[in-house]
Amino acid sequence: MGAQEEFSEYVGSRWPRLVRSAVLLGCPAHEAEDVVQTALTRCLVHWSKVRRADDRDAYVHRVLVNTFTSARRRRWTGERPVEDLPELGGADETVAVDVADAVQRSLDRLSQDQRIAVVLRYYAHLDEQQMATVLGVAPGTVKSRLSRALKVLADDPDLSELRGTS
Amino acid sequence: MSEHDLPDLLDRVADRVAPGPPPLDAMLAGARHTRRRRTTTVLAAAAVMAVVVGGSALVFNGVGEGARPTPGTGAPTPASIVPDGYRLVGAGTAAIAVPEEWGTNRTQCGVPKRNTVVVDQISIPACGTTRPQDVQSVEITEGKPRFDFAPDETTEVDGETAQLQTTRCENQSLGGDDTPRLLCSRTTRFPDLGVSFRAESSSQPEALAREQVEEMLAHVRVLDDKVAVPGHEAISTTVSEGAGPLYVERLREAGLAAVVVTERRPRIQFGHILHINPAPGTILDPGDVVTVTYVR
Repeated sequence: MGAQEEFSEYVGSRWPRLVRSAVLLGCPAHEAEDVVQTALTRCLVHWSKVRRADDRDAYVHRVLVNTFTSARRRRWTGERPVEDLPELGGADETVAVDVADAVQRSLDRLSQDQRIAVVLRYYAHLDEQQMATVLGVAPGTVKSRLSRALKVLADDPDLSELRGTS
Repeated sequence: MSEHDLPDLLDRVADRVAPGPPPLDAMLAGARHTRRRRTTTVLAAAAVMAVVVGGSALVFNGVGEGARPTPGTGAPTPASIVPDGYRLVGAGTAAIAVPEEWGTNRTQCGVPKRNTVVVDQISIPACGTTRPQDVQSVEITEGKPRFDFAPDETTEVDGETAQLQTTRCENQSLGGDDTPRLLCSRTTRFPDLGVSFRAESSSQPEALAREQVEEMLAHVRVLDDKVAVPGHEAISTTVSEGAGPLYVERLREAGLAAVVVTERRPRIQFGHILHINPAPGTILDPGDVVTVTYVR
């Protein structure tokens, strides 16, 4: 299989989850696809490296995290004035919105390093060794970031009061 | 909320995001565009041609196919990589564009005296000297990072993982002068390549020095199809004789070809390297020729 076919197959199977990972990392939903597109394009340019990588998913996540953090540094994070506020109509999704808001607010309370660790471990389901490779840190650092992050989340009143969760 | 709830909570949040189809065509086109911007030179077979020439005369004819005699300034590099008025200097495949008017190794006892890029400078004689004010420098090193390197961020340059030690400004006694002066520094290191770029500025005020070190490191690149002439100091400072042949081996490993010129120097040990052309740090195409002159 050629590099292009291999890449296309990989993107076909991973695209939705990578975009969702970018959102959980803190990327606004409308920018998440752009960030993932940039990261995957970089991977394609260096596809031989991706192929050689011991763990392809870990390599791609490393590029995604680096792309996200670079984009975040460049991006102006202030409020954008708009003439008309967006409509938020539709079905009653109160419970789902409550959960999403609470989780997003809780993730926002984490440091960037902690948030990345949480997403990689509990959404991308990378193990600690893979995370150490992705983040370029020692496994012990991964453990301590996760441990601190979990403590912050455990103490977060927004999460503890969620309806439908324990 | 417990650790066990977290995967489910994250899934519930993530499932609210409905990504569109992957823009595969745009990604393929983007990758093609990036590749076109790179030079199209294909990595030539790394052949070392040990042409031992007595005396200083160089003979390029008949040294073998695939090797191109290299001008002293190195092969031309695409304008997209090097801004106007800049030249590339590097180690391995990592390089930095520095202003053309900057010198190379304009140092005294390791201390930059004028704007300079510092390459392959390992053995530094001890002496008391000061760094003048308003001097900018970039030091390129290979191997282990400096003792005080502590990365603050991890990012990516041209697809390669890069660690960044953000700008630090400290009052230092910059040599033998007792008057402390402000020196700002910033470092980009490629851990997988083992190459570090440390930018320093002694300009005043501090804001200017901070701006300068950031600007210097904005020109760091990783080149897939270029390679720097390796340094020889790491070899020359660790072996008592035979450094020349070992350096030729290093050139081969870097994908460069070598022409060897030997000279008789009765009081100097065999293999002592007298001259390398183009100089270490010069960016070349793989397969280009480097002339090494050492004592026979």
